[in-house]
Amino acid sequence: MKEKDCTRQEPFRGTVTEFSAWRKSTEELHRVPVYHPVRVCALFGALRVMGGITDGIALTHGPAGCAFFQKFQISSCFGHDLRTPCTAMSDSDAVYGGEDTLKESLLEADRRYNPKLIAVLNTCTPQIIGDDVDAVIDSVAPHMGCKYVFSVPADGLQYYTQSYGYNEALVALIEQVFQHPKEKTEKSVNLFGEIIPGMSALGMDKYILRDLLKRIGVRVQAIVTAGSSVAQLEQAPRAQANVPRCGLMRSYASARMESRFGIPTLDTIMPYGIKNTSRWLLKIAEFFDLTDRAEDVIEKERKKLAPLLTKATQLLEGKTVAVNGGPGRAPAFLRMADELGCTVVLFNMFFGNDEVFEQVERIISEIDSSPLIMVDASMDEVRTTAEDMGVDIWFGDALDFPNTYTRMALPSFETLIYQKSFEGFEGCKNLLKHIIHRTVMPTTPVHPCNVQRCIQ
Amino acid sequence: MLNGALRAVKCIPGALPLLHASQGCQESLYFDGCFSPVKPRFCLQKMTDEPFIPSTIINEQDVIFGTEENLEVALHQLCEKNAPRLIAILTSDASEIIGDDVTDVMLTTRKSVSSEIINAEAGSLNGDHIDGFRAVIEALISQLMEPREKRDYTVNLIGVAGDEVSSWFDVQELKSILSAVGIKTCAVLLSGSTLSDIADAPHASLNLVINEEIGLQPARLMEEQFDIPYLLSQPPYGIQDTCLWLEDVASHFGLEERAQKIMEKCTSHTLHAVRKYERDINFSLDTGVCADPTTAVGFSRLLEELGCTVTLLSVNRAPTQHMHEILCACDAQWKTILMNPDYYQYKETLKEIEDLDVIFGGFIDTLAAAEYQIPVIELFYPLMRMIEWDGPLMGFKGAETMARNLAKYSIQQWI
Repeated sequence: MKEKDCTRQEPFRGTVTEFSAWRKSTEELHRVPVYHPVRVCALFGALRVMGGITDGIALTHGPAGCAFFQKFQISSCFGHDLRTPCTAMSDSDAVYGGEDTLKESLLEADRRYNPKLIAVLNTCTPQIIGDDVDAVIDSVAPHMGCKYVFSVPADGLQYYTQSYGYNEALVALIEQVFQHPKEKTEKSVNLFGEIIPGMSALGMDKYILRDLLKRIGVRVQAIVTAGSSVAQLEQAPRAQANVPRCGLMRSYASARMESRFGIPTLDTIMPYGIKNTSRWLLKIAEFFDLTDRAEDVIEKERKKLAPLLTKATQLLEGKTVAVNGGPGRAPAFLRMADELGCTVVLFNMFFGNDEVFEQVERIISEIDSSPLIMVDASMDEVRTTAEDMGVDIWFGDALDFPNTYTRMALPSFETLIYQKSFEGFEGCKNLLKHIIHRTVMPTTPVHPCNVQRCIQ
Repeated sequence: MLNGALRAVKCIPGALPLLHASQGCQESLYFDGCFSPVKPRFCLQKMTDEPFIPSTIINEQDVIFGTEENLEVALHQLCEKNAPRLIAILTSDASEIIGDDVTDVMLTTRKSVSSEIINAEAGSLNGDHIDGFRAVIEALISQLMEPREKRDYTVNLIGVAGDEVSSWFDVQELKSILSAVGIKTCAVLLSGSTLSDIADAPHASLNLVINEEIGLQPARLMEEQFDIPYLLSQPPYGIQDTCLWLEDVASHFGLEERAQKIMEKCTSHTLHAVRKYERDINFSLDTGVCADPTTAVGFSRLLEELGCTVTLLSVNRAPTQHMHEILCACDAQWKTILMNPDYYQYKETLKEIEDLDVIFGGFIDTLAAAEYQIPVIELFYPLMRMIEWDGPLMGFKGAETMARNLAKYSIQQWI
């Protein structure tokens, strides 16, 4: 993991040319002590993977605060009551070791939930005190009804982002749960890395993509992991190709799938907007030699969506856009903004790795914009820069809320927190309507509250 | 615990936290700050601002070699860039386990910067968010306050969490009741009191513990350090308990007569106001209350006073001895009492209880009750939904506010 992970842990700000030089440089990274970026914990990433398995349980081995915050994040934003049992380590566990506590918690989780899989997510505390989690699992697993019990490193000390957690969790599934298939399913793919939270994984998006693939004769073998059962995941290696959700998985989790089961990974970006969806579909179709069928589908869908696209383009033509998001959505938004006739003046990505940066550079070379690029900047810096640039519209992620909705009063488009599907052609209808609505709808800045106003 | 400590720092105007923690802790707290619908009304980060939570971001190298140097650099940078009046270093599990000498770094840095610096141990291994909140109050007492000359008829309110839905109104209500009796409030720990107010807290001649879980230990610490006695009384929710509370406070200062007049006047006024809403309140509502012990006990007694039946009382943590006694002395008709239940047990209980019409709780209750279609009114930390609350829960006005809102709720349900 250390050789191949994941994310570059250093902020960047500069032009496209500077970005290209920066991403290729191998200079030693410098440490920034007082730091205020937005990088999600590895535990969150691991929980997003394991939490999506319908008959599985993710047991957090750590203090109660760790599990509570993950639950809070997932539930407060998406209203999803994710089960987050925790060993709730205390100070005596830190002194005497948390192994006994873990043992009891494993047995209790098995009794209460009767799951087919328990993944023990190892947080900072047991990593520092050196709990032998695997030994505990080995000793207790024979007494449990659960089929799979294994640990996943999910501490925020080694790598700073959730990508470490979800890559490790996916790798654990690949090694512990996925079974070598007796035979392959013809013309089938895995939607790889569809993880919670987000309506894309909890809601309709994955089914929209499944139906879209069905139209060109491609079957979805498994959705890894959101909404899938352990039995479905066991059969995932029957697929002929993996379609990763985001570039961060390609270098590690998907590569492991390739080395273990010989399943290649397709180079796709998330299917937001007509162009992105068309490319996504064509990429899969090319792999199975079904390009003609895909082109027919694309043609039909383009015609259907043309009136909406025209309306959106008329509204957005010439507007300046700030794109802000994670390594999955941000590159897709970049191309989508261009498709809508906007000029992207600012592009900020929370974090990324070589594959994602290359993807971004490639997309920028294809579009008309030449944005200022920021990586891993604090939200305050992004907002100030966007204000200075006078951007008209904001394409962003859930964490932009305090910026765009309450302070900048900009029309903004966000895909994570709405209870709608936005992916594929079917989702594109919602997406275009949503963008039109957000652009037309007047936005008023919310003024800071003061005591006098509160009294009134 | 880290979260509770951060909540406390947010309640001090001009203060900034510095998390001595790994990246994940910072992000989780940032997320909470972004989405939490309730923010202190007076804090540095105003309602519309994003939370600013600087962190030292401990990594695995720091775990091996220690991170004291890094903390010192961080403190200097923070002072230079943001010049806050107070920096509260909040340590986490990671920094506490590796054994960084944070106090030494704090004392060294204090000499060369203009900001005040305190250090609170806020690792989650030590407790929950209440403990975290309390740790900051205790740090303020032991690291910032110095003995002062006592002033007559002055009190501190201890144990108020300034970021609760009603806390700003509660503090105004309690202050105005005390003021009517002739008692001045020096500092409120912690709800909106400035740093100089907090430093002047030892002027007070009595500490009133408002929430025992948060306030009792700091009050004992102040008694030990500054010889200020403290008063534990009935939580001032509802007319009856507010009167009992005021009687206790007044008798300490020998102001019983004045207090009696105020109580008569306020009781009469509040009863008159409550009766306006009586016809609209659906008294057959079976309610549940889920909160920390003091709030849960006080608030459920308020509901009972207004004529509701509290069938479920869920107390989020083990109560103090005093609160336990109050709980035992109550003649309320609770069918189920849960003490410090885990989420699984709580959900199981909700499944078993059939006749629950509404729960007064927080976001966890919303999640748990959703499956059983039990409506939840989120009033207590942590919250998920934006709520517009228009008055105190404590004091005489608390009864009026609650009656008004119960009537509003009953009408909405009926429609």
